[in-house]
Amino acid sequence: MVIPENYKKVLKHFVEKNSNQEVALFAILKMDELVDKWSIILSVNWIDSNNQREIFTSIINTLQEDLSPEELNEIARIAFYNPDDNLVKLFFEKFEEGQYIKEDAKVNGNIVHEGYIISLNKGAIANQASLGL
Amino acid sequence: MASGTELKNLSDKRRVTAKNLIDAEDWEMAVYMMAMSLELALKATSCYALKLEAYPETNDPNDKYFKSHNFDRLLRVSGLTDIFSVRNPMINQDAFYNWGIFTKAFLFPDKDYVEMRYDPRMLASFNKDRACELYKALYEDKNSILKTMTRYTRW
Repeated sequence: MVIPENYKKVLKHFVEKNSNQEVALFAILKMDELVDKWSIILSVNWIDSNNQREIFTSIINTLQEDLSPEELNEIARIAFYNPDDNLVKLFFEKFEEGQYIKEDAKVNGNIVHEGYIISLNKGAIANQASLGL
Repeated sequence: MASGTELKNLSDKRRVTAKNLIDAEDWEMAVYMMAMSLELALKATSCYALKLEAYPETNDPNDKYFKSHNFDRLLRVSGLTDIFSVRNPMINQDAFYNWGIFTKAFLFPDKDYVEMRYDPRMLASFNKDRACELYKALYEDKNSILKTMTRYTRW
């Protein structure tokens, strides 16, 4: 069972560990109706091929510090997306920060069975554009 | 249906096919073969984990685990959830990283990967960079999905 408050704590600590840099999207999604596992979707504009592994370790460490063993067992994967990715743009169009997706929602044709949009920060992308990144 | 050993051999062959297709710059079909290789690997591992002589061949419409192309469902019956998870302590963090890199590619398309052959939009999403990234996560990296399964003698 996902407790969104615990993931808000994860996000807060993850941001603090990474010099308070902005997170564009942080969501917890259940993508299969049978398997009770959740995919963590993370989009930040300060990730690249050189530091992706480092950022992965940072989020793993934070999850392990803030979540119970039962909550950790429910995580299927951690998926990174560039803020420019169409999927992230779709999230900005369809959802709002803090939204609980309780009924099947179509994203890119596929169904999200349940989900929590922990953070959805359009400013992170706007800031990226203003910096010419 | 095939035994675990036969499925492992098929997985190896499809992985080699994927590498040949990468060398031939056929990125889309390379990705398709990689996905098939992982599906076969998970099914082979299920045979070993459950001590099955052969992978179950079922016409049961309620069977949504064995008769599936869904990686998360196949992972559950493969007995590999201890490796590909965030449990603390983790068995192999790099392997879980590679699991995320690879399976993410099949997370949002609206179809099972087996139907990508007929879907130009889905095929077009796989270019050189993505194909090479997926091959690294599946096999090339020392903590790739398949090498990790071998190291922990799960198949």
